[in-house]
Amino acid sequence: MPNRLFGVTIAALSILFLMYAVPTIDSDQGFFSVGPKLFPNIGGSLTLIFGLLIALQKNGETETAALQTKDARVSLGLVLGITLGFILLLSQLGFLISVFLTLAAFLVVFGERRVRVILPVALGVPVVVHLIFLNLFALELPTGPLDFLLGGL
Amino acid sequence: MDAFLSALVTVLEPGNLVILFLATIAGLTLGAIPGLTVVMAIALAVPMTLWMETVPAMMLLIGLYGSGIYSGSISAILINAPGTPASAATGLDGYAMAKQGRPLKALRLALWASVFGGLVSIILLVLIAPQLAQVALKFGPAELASLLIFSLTLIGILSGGSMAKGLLAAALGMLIATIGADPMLSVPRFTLGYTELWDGFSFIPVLIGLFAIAELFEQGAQRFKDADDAISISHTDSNMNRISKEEVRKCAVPAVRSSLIGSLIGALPGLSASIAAFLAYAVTKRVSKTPEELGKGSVEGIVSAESANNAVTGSAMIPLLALAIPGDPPTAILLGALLIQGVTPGPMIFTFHPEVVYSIYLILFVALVFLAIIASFAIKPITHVLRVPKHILFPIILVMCVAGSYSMRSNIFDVYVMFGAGVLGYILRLFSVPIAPLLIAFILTSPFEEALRQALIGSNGSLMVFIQKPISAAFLGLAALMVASVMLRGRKEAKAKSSLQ
Repeated sequence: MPNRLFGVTIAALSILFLMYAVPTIDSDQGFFSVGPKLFPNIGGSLTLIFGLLIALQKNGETETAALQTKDARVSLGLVLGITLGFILLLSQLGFLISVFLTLAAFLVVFGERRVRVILPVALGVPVVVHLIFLNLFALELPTGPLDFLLGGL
Repeated sequence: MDAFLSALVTVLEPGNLVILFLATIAGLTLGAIPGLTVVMAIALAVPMTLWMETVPAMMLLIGLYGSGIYSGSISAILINAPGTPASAATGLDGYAMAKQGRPLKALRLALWASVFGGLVSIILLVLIAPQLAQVALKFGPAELASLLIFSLTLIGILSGGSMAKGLLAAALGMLIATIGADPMLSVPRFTLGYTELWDGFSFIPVLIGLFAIAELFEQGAQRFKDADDAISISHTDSNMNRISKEEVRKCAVPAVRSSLIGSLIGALPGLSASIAAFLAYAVTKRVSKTPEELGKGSVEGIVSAESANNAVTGSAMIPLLALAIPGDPPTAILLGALLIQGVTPGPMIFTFHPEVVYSIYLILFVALVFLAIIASFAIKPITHVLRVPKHILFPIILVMCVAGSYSMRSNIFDVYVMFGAGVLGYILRLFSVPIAPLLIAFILTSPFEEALRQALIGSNGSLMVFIQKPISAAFLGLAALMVASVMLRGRKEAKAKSSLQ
């Protein structure tokens, strides 16, 4: 059943893509016999065909059983939430603070209770990665509110 | 000869050798951890190559590739959990041998078989790639487009599981690659007003998202469950763990045969090292004088699986260098890294960048030497890595992923792309859709679109151009034949199942 649902979803999205997204491309093809719409049309048609084929398969294999327990779904939600939070905070709080918060959150949420592990990892990793990128690759990661402190590094 | 000497001097520069040395250690360490695949290790290393010259960049990536494929066997042998899918077949006999008190022997057999397999494939690469490139020089846009259709079909069909899902993954890769300015008229496609999308999605965040972030989500859903305790190699009987002369004799033929099987599989787009290892293992079981021993700690079993999976590393470079067609995810990443370096693989690379080609040959060889030396002496400390808890390791990997994706253009947008690619990769994994065809199609779509449109412009839009040219027609015929044969086989299997029921 999940397999069929997946196939139907892909097919439906492909139809929407072909009907509404592809026509937004400027159709002027200049002197050429084929234009910029050709490939999106080919790609969209192929996903539609294979989506339908998957929907028609009787016993399609899936790994969705991995998410059948509530525990697994909660864990996945936590990982997705922390990761998304990290990415959204990155530009606001800068690399060092957001990485510290993310690592601490990850470790605590997934069962680490030893402060002698949490602190060195959450403090050490952002500093080491920041220094590697700055000194080895000459690339500054977002500094955020610590700009006054890191600007001189 | 000048190009060869220049390549030799560059490869042997102390700084470059240090990079290869460190890459080999990193590959051995990361590849040994179950859940951290060699593809993920290479993906994480690609951002570092942005600041490197071509040769050191290739030394980093190839060093990780060769050692990572071998080191997957360490966890396969010691905890029966392959570090990379390619090592699953090694675990069948390796773990059994380790449980019998011979873990060091299993590790040594795996190492020497890997080195032998790698060597055979390098020889074949040196012999075949330039010849294939000569043939490819005769290709026009129609032949190139048909070759790419053939390759994408092959990759989609053979990447494991259902054919429809493999081909869907390739089609999705094509669609994602069409985002951005079109390659011939620079007309924007699906950019939604974002200037960041004019150049399309960057290779690095897509790659990191599809492989590393998707793996993070998968491991997270399992609450970062650690593997079982490893079999200790500290207090082993040295006599039991010595490889005898008779065993070397017994392994010689399976090693040669499996290396050739691995090399052949590696040279075909879409067939991975894990398929090579299982195929070689199955052939050995069929022709062995003692097939009943396989699966119970047989030396032939370990040697067959390991020589085959490492033979893929060299031969996978044949289509990459000669035709610019990557056969599997690691070579797709190498192709992307070469393009970032401004080097375009394909038949012309032998004319315009012979020093790069010779460098790759030499790096593959030196990487094997390093692997043999480092793995011989450092196997014990490397096994300690099996004890690193995943709930500490994976968050650190997330930090590296974000920093790596950001570093491509110093743009937070690429980090969002990485997250999106990670979610897509995880959803596709949930529905057993292979990721490899998506990545390879994503990379190949730009040259494919150019070739197809050039051919159609040349023929005033007539599709007959693909049939009238014999080489092009042959590639399309082969692709159709493959699809038909897979469909027929599927129908036969379904009939057999229903008649059994």
